Amino acid sequence: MLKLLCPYCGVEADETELVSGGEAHLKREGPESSDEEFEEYLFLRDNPKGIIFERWRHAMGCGKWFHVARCTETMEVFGTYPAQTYKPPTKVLQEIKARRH
Amino acid sequence: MAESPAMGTPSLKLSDNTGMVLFRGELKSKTLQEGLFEVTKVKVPAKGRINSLDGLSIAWMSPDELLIFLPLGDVGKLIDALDDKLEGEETLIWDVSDLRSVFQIEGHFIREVLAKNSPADLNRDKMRRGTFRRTRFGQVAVAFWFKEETCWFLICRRSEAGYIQRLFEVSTQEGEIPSFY
Repeated sequence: MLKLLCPYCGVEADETELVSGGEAHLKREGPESSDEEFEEYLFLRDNPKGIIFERWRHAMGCGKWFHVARCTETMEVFGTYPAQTYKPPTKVLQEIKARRH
Repeated sequence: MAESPAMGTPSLKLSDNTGMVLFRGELKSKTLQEGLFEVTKVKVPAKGRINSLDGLSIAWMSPDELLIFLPLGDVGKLIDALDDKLEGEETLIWDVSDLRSVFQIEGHFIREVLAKNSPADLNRDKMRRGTFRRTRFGQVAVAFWFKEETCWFLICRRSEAGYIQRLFEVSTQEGEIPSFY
C-alpha cells in the first residue's frame, strides 16, 4: 500500500484516494518538433526499476495534481511536491541522494 | 469497557435543511478573508479545518475552495451579501445545496464505522474536533467532521446518498462494529 502526503492538503492520502497520472516532467513537443520527438512525447514512457518521478491526483480529496519522487523497487517515497514546476525541487533531489549513498 | 459495540449502534439521517454554498477564490487574499468574515462572522478556516458559529460553518475544501454550511432558507441572502461585499473580486459563489447531501450520524462507535469504510486516519489525535477530512467512504468521495464524539456529519454527492445509506446500514449490522478506538 502506497501512502503519499498531499502537498496541498497536508493529508497522508492512501493510494485508493489518489489517481495515478503517469510520468512527470515531460517536455511537451510543439508543431516544430520532429516526428521522433513527438512520438517520444506522446507515447514513449520510461518504466524504470528504481527512482521514478510521477504525477498523482488527490481525486478523493482536494482534487489537485501533485508530483511524487519514489522508488519502484523498494517502494520508498522520497518526497511529494506541487505540480507547478518544471523539475524536481532541490530538497527532493537531496533526499534521494542522501538515501542512495 | 463500559460500552460495547452492540449497545450504541450509530444511526444515519439526511439533514435536508442544510444549505451549502461553494466559494472559490484566492483564499490567501486579505480582501476575501475580511469580506467573508464580515458577511458570515466566521473566520476562514486553516488547511483541513472547519470553523463554526451559530449554525454557520465554513469548511476548507482545497487551497482555492471553501464550503459554507448554513440553514437552507438563508442561502439566497448569503449569496447576495457575498456578491455585494466582494464585487470586483475574482470569486465563484454558487449554491450547491441540491448537488450534495449532508448526513448527520448519531450514536456510539461512529469512528469505527467510518474507519471500516475509509482509509482516513481516524485516530483521536489526528481526527480531532474541527478537522474536516475529505476522503472516500466505500467507493465514493465524501468529507466528514464532528461536533461531538457522538454527533458527526458527512457530505457526499446527492446522487450517491443512497449508496452511503445502504453501506452504512450494512456496516452497522449487529456484530459488524469493531472496537478500534
